[in-house]
Amino acid sequence: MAQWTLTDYSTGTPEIFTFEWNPNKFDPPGRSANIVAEATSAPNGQTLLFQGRDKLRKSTFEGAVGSESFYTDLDTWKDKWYPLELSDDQGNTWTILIEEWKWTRVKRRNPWRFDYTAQVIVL
Amino acid sequence: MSETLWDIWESGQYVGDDFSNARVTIQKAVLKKFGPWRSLVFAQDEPQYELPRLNLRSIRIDNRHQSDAATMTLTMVNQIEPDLLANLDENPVGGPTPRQQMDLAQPGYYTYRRGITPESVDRFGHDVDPLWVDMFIPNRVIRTFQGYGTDGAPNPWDDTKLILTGTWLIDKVDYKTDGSITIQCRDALKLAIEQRLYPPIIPVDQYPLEICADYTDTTTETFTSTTEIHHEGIQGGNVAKILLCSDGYISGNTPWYGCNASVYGHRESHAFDGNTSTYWLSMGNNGPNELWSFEWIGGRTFGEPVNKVRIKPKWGGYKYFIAVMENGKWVDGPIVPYGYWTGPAYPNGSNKPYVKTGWVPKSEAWFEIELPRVYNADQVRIIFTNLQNSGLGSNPYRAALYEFEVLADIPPRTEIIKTEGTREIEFIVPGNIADYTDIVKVLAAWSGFYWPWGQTDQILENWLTSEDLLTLEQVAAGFTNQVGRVWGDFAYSGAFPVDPPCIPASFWDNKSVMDGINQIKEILGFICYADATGGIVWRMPNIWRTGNFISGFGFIGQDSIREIDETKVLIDYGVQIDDANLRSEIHVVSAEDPTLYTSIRPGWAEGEVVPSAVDPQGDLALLGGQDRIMLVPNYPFISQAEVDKFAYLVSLWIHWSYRKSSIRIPGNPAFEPDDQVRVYERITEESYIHYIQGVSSTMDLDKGTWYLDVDTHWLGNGPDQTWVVNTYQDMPAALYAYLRAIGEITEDGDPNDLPPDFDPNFDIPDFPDDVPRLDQDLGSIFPDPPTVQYPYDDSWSDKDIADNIGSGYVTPPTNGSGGTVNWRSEAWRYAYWGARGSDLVTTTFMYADPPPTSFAAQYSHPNQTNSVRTTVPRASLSAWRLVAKAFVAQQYNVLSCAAYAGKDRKIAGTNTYSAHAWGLAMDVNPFSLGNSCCTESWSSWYARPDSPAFYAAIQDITNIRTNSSNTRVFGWGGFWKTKKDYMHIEIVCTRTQIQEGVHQG
Repeated sequence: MAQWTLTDYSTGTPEIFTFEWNPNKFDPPGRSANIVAEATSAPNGQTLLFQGRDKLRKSTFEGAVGSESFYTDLDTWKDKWYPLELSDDQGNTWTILIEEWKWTRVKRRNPWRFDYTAQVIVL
Repeated sequence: MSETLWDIWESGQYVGDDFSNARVTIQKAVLKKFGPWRSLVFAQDEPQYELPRLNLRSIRIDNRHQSDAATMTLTMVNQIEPDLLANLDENPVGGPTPRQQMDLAQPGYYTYRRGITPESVDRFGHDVDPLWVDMFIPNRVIRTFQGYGTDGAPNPWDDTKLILTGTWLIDKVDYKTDGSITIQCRDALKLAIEQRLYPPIIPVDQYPLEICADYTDTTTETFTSTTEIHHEGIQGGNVAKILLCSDGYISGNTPWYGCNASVYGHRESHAFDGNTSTYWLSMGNNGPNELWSFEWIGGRTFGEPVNKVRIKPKWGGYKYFIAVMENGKWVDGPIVPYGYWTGPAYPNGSNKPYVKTGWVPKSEAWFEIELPRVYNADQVRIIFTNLQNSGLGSNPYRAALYEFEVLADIPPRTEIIKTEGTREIEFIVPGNIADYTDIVKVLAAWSGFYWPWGQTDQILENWLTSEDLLTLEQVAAGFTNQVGRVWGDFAYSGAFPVDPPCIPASFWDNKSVMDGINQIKEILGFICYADATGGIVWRMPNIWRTGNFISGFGFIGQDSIREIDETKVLIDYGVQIDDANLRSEIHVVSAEDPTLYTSIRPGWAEGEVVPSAVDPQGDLALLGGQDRIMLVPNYPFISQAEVDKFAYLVSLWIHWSYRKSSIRIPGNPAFEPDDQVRVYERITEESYIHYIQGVSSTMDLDKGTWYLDVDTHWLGNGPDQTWVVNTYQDMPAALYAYLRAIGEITEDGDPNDLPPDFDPNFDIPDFPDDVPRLDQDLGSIFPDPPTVQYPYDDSWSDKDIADNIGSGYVTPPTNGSGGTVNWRSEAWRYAYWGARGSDLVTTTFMYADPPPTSFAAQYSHPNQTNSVRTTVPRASLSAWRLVAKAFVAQQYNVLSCAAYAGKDRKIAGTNTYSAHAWGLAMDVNPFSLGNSCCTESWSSWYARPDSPAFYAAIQDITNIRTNSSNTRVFGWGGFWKTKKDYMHIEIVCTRTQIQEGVHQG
């Protein structure tokens, strides 16, 4: 199974981060159309539909971290404020902007055992 | 608007490929000057740049005719679309890197000064994009294109799913740190609002501005009238009458016996009585040939051209002498040898110089004496010697004549009697406008609405002066002073200032151009707005009949009423009944002359909402009987017709304000102010026709919503039913006549409904065509200069008029036949053709290549050319080409001359400028022998004015007509009543008329 990766192009030389463990939950980007409906004044009139620009596409994925290096690297990558390229285990790629990242420390004997939830904007 | 777009709009489904869409361009522009004129349209020789659609956030347009200009507010995002995978550590211009600045999409990218100061590089690391530097600042031109979907055309103006909704000039730009730019604009009338009527908007030599229409004044002039008396010709007739006693001797007898005394019963008068049995008898002599034996008799001949003397002698055998008095003197010659100094002689007047002598046969038959030449004789005497023995008395030798005649051969002639007198004549004092609309055109062209191509607008030409020269660069670019017009669509009003005919300079001072236009607008009751292209629309409001008649981008067909159905597109609807503006009576008083006033009581039409009680009548009833009087005292009307018209229009607008409505529908450029719209809505019981006063269009490009809020007032109760203006009894006659003339009212209807003082034979004003809008050019925004095609082609028929040779002369035209003599005064020419010698263009008048063959051999001449260049007003070029064509059709070569002889050309023998001085007349010499241009050169039958060929050409020429008013274009000097001038062809219509275009009638 292919590993998830994040790629940073901002330095001119692609820098790739490979997930040690793939996320265990993933909501792939969907689509959210922007439709405004207006009723005509007649009760038996038609409905008017206006379509605007699609709403932002968002995606979430969740996973677990079990090592210091994985945690440390991922924690660094989550702070990148500019677009990154995300590649999943099926080879799909998206340009994303990390909007929200939540760490949850799992009380185990392993101090580097964390769960994370990421919300990204798909550009 | 295309049916496809209309169908999308009615479908209500603005999704998928039919999403509500906008594209926007921006362009740098500085008004370009052409002489005194300014052009916004042709200021735009900079390219248009399209704003990235993703940056557009919203577009709001507010357009209502109560405002001087429509407004547009555009919000957009002030950044570019980021390169998602760009290297954030590079900055080509130096300074902080994007990573350091945390700038991903270059916020502030469209800020007008971005990157041009050292700080912007050092501190912000900003680069200069020359495309956008100083772009979003006031007075750039923005164009908005809106519609549903896109066809992907590279240029917005080529996108068939979008419609140009406005041409805007930026007023204000707000840059904010939230990354937005808000741009506020007005339409092109900003130019008129912000520029004031001082130099240099008004050319210095036109300031202070005085505008006058033509008017008539009178003066007394001395004139000479000419009376022609025709004398019939006389061939061989006797013109001799007996001499008068008051003249002295009437024969040799007079000294002895007295005047016409009896000698044996015979008198001098017997020789003039036509009776050959009575005769004159001389006194007696004592011998036939004594020194004193000379007797004579003479007659008056009245200066007639005599050449014979005829006598019937008694006895005969005399020797005769003929003496002739011509011009009061006896014609020189030998003296009759009468011995008047001798004994018995009594000086009897026989000793005169004679012109002929000879012998009378010894016979009493008639005897003719041929004179040496023709004398315009006052008196002719015949003197006899070798007297005959009469047998009477002691001195029996006498002369005797039964009859004495002097014969003349007189051709027919015309005697001209001139009489001097004085008379009062009217003359036209030329103004500088012919219609109120002309004022608006001039103001518009000064302030930026000049269009430098195509057909020339007459009024602009009239306002050009010699100072208004183009730059060499403009000339090199193909512009000329004469070509050009006003960008827009102008309706003529048929009205102009009268009594006084001038609008004084104080009327314009301290006013903006728009205020000046508004003054005229109020006088006429017109509307004025800028259409989506930036052109001015100037016309009567669209209230007089059902339909929409102005073409444009939103135009969906003649007579079309935009219909809004509650089940299809009506989002919201409200009706307001409001008496706030209602008035029971309206009084309009001229500020110029308080004796000019009118009062009117607004009323309602059948079917309108009215109180159940219908007494009192009119809006007084709607006001519940309250008397609310309105006094309008501030408009400088100068005629009663203007006051009447204004009061009536005010009453209409006020009455209509009683019922208003507001409509919300999806965005649609087909709904524009001044359109009519019909709404169907059940709750408000709405199915009436409304007039659109204003529209507000709000497009949110994020949400995809596009709303149009339409403000209307009620017009009538259905297209075929009661209309507010359905009876004309209360309408001023002048307004009714005007509406008839422009086609807003097409039928008289019931005569009882007409204005009481309306004359059904009213004089329809002369309305020039509206200035074309060049719709076909607008799509490209920058049209190529149109190629002017003159209607003349170089072909002619092979008609051979040799068939007419020998067929005899046609009857020469008589006075008034075939053409009305239009003798135009200098004042007329100045008024309708401008200053002498201005606006002339040298052109090839005659063009016949190859030359006509039929007469080439007979009439060719070394000096003859078949391509003659001469000078005429530019506006008349097409008409003169038809003249040339008429001659060519008759196979003439024409040598023209004196078409334009400069400013000093005057009518021969007078101090009056000839039509040639205006370039309005051309002397043609179809015979073209040499360079002679004189009528005396008519030496050939073919070139005579009464030849079939020449007259056929003249008939064609005098039948050349203008396209709209069918006015005769040319007069011919051969039709003149007094002094005919067969080679003279003259323009007899006005420049405005000739600009309708001409055709061979």
